[in-house]
Amino acid sequence: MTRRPEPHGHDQAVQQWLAQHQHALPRTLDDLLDTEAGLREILLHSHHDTATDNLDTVLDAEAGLAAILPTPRTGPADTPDTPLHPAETPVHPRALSPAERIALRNNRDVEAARKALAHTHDIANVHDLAPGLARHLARAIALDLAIALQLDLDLDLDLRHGVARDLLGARYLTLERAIVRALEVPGALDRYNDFDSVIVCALGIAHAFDLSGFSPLQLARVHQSAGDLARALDRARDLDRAHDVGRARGRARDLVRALDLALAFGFGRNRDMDHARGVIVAIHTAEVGRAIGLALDRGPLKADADRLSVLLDDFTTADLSDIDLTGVDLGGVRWSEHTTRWPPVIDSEDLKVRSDHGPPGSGSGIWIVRSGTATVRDCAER
Amino acid sequence: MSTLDPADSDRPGVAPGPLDPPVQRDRVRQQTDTEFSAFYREKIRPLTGFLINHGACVQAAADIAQEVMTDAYRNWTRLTHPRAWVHKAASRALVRSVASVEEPVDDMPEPTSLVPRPDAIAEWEARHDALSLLRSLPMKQRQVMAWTLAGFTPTDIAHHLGLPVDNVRANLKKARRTAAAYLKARKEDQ
Repeated sequence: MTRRPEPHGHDQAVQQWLAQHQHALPRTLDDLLDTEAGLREILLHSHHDTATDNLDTVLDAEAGLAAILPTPRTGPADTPDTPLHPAETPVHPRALSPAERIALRNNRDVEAARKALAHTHDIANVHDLAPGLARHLARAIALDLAIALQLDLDLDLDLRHGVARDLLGARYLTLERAIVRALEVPGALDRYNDFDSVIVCALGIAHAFDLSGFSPLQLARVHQSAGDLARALDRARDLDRAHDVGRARGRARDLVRALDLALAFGFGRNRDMDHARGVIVAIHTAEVGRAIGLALDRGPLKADADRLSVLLDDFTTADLSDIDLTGVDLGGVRWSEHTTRWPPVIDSEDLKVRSDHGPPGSGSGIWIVRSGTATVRDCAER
Repeated sequence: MSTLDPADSDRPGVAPGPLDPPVQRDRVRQQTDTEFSAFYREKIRPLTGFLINHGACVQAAADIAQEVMTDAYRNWTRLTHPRAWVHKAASRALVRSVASVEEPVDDMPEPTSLVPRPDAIAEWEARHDALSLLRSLPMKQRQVMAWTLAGFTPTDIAHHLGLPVDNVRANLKKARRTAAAYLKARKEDQ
């Protein structure tokens, strides 16, 4: 049993008060939390996987696809100089069924990556991309990537060795000292395997970014650390977690690209704003592809922003009649009143009320469900 | 991943094993779903409470708890001490979310699967007067208190937070002293 510390004298009342609070907290949270709905949301991944696996028993999708499609083109964000590990086979958008695409739309990682992409897109398109804003966007995606890398890599490894603990302490030091620690740590870790070094690098970068403020010189040091990380990942690629390593490697490379950009603006170098916009959007797009790969337990999906939109939003010719859409958020879905087939519980007239007409030129009878307005539950229970 | 949580050290393990045939994958998935569902039903509320005790608002706590549970599900076969793992991951995620918030936050949170009625949060928070005390504590004291209330010892907490044990005990003592002063002041007000 885990022990609690003994109370001391006048602490008795405090101990009792806090114990009552702790006892009541989870019980009263029942009033706010819908545990079963939360669980269903997570298990949606499993139902989707089961359906996909069952299809594999009757379909040779790869053979059928190879006979139809041209060779998939290389994606825009991951540098193509390293051959793919066999377990990193990319997903091709057209190989996915409507059920899989619906499941992907509602995957939390995919949803979060899409929101970040849309947010960046909006900022980059609405505003003239000033150097300060470009630097901010590059720094923001670098921070996200560093944190994602840390999550990728510390899932099943124990970080409780001394050096990592020291580095965690660095959170409370200045940025410069934190970065110096991050750069020193890999050398001090020679006695561990590469993964440990990689994790500590990622921790160092993420924690350095956690601290507020940075100078171009400090960024340069972080950049060097990110380069170390990418090289260590290449060395670690033969370990048996190829998906994780592949995803982390892609992120490390994009982290270096984002840092390159942030550095260029930090030093006041003259940079092409269109190029900056393209790099930032491409990195966010690659993150969506990686989230999709993660959801499918495959390598990252290689697609540009337009193709991602078609993959995740365009259901104008899809047959969804056999798909359980209960609780699924349909916001942003493009559908046709003529050719989209819905499950019986969906009232298409009601769905029209919750949709806007498609943009000019998209054809007659094309609708787009407004964000935050429709789940199947909403449409079915009216 | 922590090995410091005796409360869940006897979780039945699922051998990762080769997962090639779909039938075998189905079987492993069913076992994972059964185990994870039991874990989720038992732990989602304490985990959300743990984050609330850290000072998070209910909606943010529920969102982070759900994200961490999603990660736990995705990596279920690798986790040997899921309770300690989700607490550690949730604590880190909360620190990150506090450190990286740059966008304006909506006044009224959107309903989610886990929190279908965010409009009920304010009334719920008003019923828990200890929250105002916990939220007034400095970050380190709040962290240590949240971990302590979740049943972890100072040694466990020191490991998870990467702090010396003496530092954890000192922060706990300060937090208790503040709580005692808070209770005394409240009694005097009444």
